[in-house]
Amino acid sequence: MDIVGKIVSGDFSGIIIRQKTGIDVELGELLVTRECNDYFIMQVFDVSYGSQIPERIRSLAAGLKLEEESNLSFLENELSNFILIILKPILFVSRNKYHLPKRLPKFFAAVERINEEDLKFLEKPNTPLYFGQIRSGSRILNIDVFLNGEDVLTHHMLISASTGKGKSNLVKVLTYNLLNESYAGLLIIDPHDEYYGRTKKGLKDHPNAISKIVYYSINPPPGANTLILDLRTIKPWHLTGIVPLTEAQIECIYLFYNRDKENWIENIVLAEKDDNVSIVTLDVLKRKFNNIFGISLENGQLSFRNNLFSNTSGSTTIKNVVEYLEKGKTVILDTSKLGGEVELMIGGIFAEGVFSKYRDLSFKGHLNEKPCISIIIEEAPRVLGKDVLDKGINIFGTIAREGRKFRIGLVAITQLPSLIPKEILANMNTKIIMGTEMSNERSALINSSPQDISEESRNIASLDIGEALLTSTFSKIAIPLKVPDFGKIIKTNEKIIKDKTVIRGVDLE
Amino acid sequence: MADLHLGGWREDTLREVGIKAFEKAIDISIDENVDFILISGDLFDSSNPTIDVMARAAKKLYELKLKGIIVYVIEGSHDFSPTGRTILKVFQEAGLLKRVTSGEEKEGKLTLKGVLNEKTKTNIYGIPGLRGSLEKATYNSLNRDELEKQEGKKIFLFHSAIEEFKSNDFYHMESMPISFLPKGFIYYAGGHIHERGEFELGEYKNVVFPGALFPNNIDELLSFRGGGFYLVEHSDGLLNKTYIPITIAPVVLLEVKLECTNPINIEEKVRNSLDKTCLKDSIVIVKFKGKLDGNISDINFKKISLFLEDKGALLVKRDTRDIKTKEFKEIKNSSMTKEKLEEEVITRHKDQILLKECRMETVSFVKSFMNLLSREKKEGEKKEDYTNSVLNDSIEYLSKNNLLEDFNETSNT
Repeated sequence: MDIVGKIVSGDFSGIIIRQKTGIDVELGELLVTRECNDYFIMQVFDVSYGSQIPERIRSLAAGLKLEEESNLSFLENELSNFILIILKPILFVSRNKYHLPKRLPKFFAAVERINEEDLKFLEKPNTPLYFGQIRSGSRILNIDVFLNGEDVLTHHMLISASTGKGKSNLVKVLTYNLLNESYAGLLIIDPHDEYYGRTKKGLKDHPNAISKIVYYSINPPPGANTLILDLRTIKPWHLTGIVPLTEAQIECIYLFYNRDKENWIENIVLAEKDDNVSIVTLDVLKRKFNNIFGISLENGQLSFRNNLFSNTSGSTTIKNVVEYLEKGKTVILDTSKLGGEVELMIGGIFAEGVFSKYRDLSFKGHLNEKPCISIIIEEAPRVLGKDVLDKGINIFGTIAREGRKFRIGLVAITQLPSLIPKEILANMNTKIIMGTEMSNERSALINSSPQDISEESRNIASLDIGEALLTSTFSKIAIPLKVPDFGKIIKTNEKIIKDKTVIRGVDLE
Repeated sequence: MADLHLGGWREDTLREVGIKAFEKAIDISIDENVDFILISGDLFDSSNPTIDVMARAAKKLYELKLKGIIVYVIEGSHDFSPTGRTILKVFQEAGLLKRVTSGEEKEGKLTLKGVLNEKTKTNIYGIPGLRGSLEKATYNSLNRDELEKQEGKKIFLFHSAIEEFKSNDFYHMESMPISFLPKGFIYYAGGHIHERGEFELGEYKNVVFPGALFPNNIDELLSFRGGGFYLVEHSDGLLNKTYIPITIAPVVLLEVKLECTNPINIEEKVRNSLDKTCLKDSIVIVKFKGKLDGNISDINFKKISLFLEDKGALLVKRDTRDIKTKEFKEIKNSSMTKEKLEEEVITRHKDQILLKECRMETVSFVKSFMNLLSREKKEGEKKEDYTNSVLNDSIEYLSKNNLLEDFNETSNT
């Protein structure tokens, strides 16, 4: 037994224990107090000094030591001066069943450090989503944290942290482990091209990568797909809420779309004039399309400035991506070379594709035969920010509000959760909170957390790289986490020998 | 050219038209005095065609040999054989053509050797197409850098659908990304997709699918009506591509609309729909559409065929897929998948099966068992191994579900 102290006072909002001399207890640490075969799990949320000696005597003694180099010391110092630890009871475990505590532990009960055995009741669900290992203060316990991935992913997730606190590492760990599962398709919109691992280790190094990962880039490495879209697959609603358009421009777009169907973009660019649209509106749209699609008219012919849009290639790109997702694959879109507006539009096009498909499947009653879908978006306030949504709803906003019904969820990554409207933030039923220094960002997270983590503000501010607090509707408690280092996971898995590729059809000499 | 599928049609007449299309393409090539001919897979419909088909092809290839025109080929998904025993190898040994698919493996990487066309100083490389797109594994190992570094004119032959260029009609077809191909070649001769297409994407210029030389099934006859090949001229760094259509027998489509028509009146309908259409030496496809007041088997197709042949048709094919009869009810739910349909049928008939002691629910049991039995033979798997594997898996499955005893009882009785 590793007794750290005894309960001396407190109430439900904070149980106070006196810390045993020579023991160090950290903020956030998990402690237990036992009663026969049952036990309470408690978490440290504050630490303070305690003493039986009046304060003025203590100040005098300190002054004498400092100013007169006296040898004066307290009689039985360890008994007189001590540390008080304030704990929050978080769980009561009784014969492998657990629930939130409804009473206080026994007065004067001994309190111990938690060990792995005390958390054995945590089970791996059928559709597991791995987050990391349980952390008690800065001590890592050898207990893996899983939640029901299907629930978590379809009810949206928020990952919040300041720069450098380990967001990307966390997403890599989450997605890497999901490659072992078949219950979810993932669409990763990757503006920094960091997840596939084009130049260093990444998801492509997973043993299942060949069968599970599809990587799209405008400059694909061998074996990857070209991110190219046939203009005829673009619909007017792909632009709404992402590209700023006036009423007149929207009317013009729909006029052409309703009349010319899939050729609407080409025909706007080719049109010299149209009886129903002013020349000015047409000209502005042509300029906008030149910026967005890189399309213009040169010597009477359509010309494409880049390889992202075409009128001969990429007719099935959207369908293919949707189909890959439906098959439970992970699709990574490298949008690192695209401008902000175009990047969001591209992400939106695929998100819209999968949303429409799943909505359709839901109406036909076939939705449950498909894996759930999760869409990972970096710098989420660019599409879910208050100011963006005020200008008009976009597909990500729609998914945040309605996606759950169609088994589609978002994983929104941000440093600034306060920019996301409260109702959307509250809809993110799982939050992984990593080190966040700014107090208004912490408040936004704490106020929208599924668990009461009002006491955790200081703890959140002091979270180190890779440390996190997981709060979720699908967990009874807010779980302190340590996210493993992705590099180490890859190194461990490198020992798994991949199947040797068989060269077929070529006469080998 | 690509996808000739010589010997492919079941009907003698269409098989003959296919061969004639090949002969005509070769004659045109000789007349045009081409330097060499590229065939991007599926010259034959199988790796072991009939003697007649082989003889006709050999004769034409020999003509080319005499003229000094070399034919460079790769195998396609139809004429490839995992055992390596293909007629293309025989023809190669006889000097009638050259396969461009030799290479060597170094540390798991494949370096293609290619073949140099001396006359034009062009290096020609290729990777064959395999069934189920298994060639992707080969592309995965391909040492592209080595090929891209090679100086001079380079041509690449491939027999695979390219994901970026797939049209909506070929959306479900297995494909590979273009990034598997080495960059910077002057010409990419594609096969496998029977629809003609010319593409360009980034550093991949002149990616050309000539399409089938002659349609390979009724849908292709309906869609493409014919086929052809490309004559490509390369001079002063410029590439000029000309598509040469080949028509041996024109394809005529006769649409016959049925409006609750009785099978007895169909012939008259055909006569009326014919109008003044010239059928001389043509392939006529009679496409029936609409509701039939009776059974399809009551239509006298023989009489209709004879009538059209009397009018000069070389061959008559019928397409009855769009006939709606009382025999078959239309399925309203268009999203119904094959799996869902199967499940419905099993559910409807499950009470006819008595599976006492079965550990699984009947529908799930039957579905899983059907999946097990429908496993296809893998590339290179011996027939005996395949049979044993399916049998063993089935026995294990039945045994797990306590059904082996039932099985024995049934077989005993």
